[in-house]
Amino acid sequence: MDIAVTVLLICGLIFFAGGTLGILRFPDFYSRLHPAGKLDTLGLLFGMMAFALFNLHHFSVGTLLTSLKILLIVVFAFLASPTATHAIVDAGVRAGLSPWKKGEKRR
Amino acid sequence: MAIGPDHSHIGSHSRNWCHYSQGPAGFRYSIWCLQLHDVSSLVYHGGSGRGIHRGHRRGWCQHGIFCCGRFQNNKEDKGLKAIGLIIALLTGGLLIYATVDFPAYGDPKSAASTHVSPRYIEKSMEETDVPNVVTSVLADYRGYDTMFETTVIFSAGVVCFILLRIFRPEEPEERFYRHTLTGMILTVKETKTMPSRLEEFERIDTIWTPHDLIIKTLCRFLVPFIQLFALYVIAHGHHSPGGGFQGGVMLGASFIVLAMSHDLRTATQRMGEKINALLCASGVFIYAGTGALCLLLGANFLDYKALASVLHVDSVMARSYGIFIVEIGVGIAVMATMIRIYNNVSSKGRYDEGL
Repeated sequence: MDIAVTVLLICGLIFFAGGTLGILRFPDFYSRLHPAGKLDTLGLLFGMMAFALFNLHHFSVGTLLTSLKILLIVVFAFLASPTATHAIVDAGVRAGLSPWKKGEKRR
Repeated sequence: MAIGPDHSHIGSHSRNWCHYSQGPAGFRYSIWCLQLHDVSSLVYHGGSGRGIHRGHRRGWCQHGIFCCGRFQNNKEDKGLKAIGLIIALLTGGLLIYATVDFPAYGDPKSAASTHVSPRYIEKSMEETDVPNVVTSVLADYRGYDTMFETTVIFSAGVVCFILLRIFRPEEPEERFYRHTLTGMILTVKETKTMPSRLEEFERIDTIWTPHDLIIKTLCRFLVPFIQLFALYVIAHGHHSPGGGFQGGVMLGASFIVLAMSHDLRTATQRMGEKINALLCASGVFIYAGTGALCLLLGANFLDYKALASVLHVDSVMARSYGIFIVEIGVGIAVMATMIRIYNNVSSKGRYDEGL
């Protein structure tokens, strides 16, 4: 079980690292939101799954309940995070920010 | 306000009534407490807010950002700003001067480390039956302090209301209506009598008008869960991090989410201004009323032990329940104030169209 937890945590960290790199490296507002919205959500899924699994070391009704609560975080983050990204992109379009095109300078 | 330094009030289990230590140091400390709890936040709101709300009411530029009107101050505004700045600087200077009186950070010989904190930590469970020491210290041992924090929040809401609210609504030049079936948008311009209610049409804001099914649906879905969790946080403050302030903020945020995803009118339909004001005041009233009830039952102000005869429990559980009642009051006050500040600021006091 420890191996599974470690693998899940490493997967999550890889996604988080990719997301951070994307936020730093992508050229403009809209493309930066892409790693921010997507990779963080997936990294959170892996991380929380690892926590939930680790919590089940001593199996009982109590720990099972705690694990379910941890997984509930994932459910709400899965609902809220893409919607928030959607709203931010919408706001950017409404404020009149045009997307980056190839050959332009990084913003 | 009778909140004194920790190192002077540990005598004989009396919790809230503190005695100032004598001399200039005690005076500085008392000024510090007074400033921190009452004046600073009011000065902040009053001093900085005054200059903004003269000038244009409707100053939205093309990007939907409130921009003009703010910097066109006349002489009166400049004078007020100068006074506000002086008061803020004086307050800040006094606060810094008062910190000289404090024991050094982490000082093992300070009163808080030698006998105040250990006593709270050791006796909290047997005296109040609350495992979370933070809650018992906040709402019971130093309940007087928290009561005035709640009052400060209440007055912040009232100040926001006084400064911003406009009761003579200038009718907007145009209103937008969306036909709900086709999605067509209707503009009604410069008529004296605006249609207040139209079937099949919904009124939309003039500035920020996204019809976003995703955001609306998701926020409607999330709001009950946010509120449920907020109630859990308020009720579970005895055993885990949480309590009235945090839960109240979450409850307020759930209404603000509704107002942001739909519009301000949707949110104010669910909680009107009068109900909001009533809740805002009743939260503080519950707190102070609990204290006054203790007085009537023959104990000190906010000494929840006296509630034992009313609640039909022993004195330890009475303190536990007293904390809970007080936390509910704090939660209600914080929630109503959050909503009130948001409504006033986002609609510039018109309660008509806002973010």
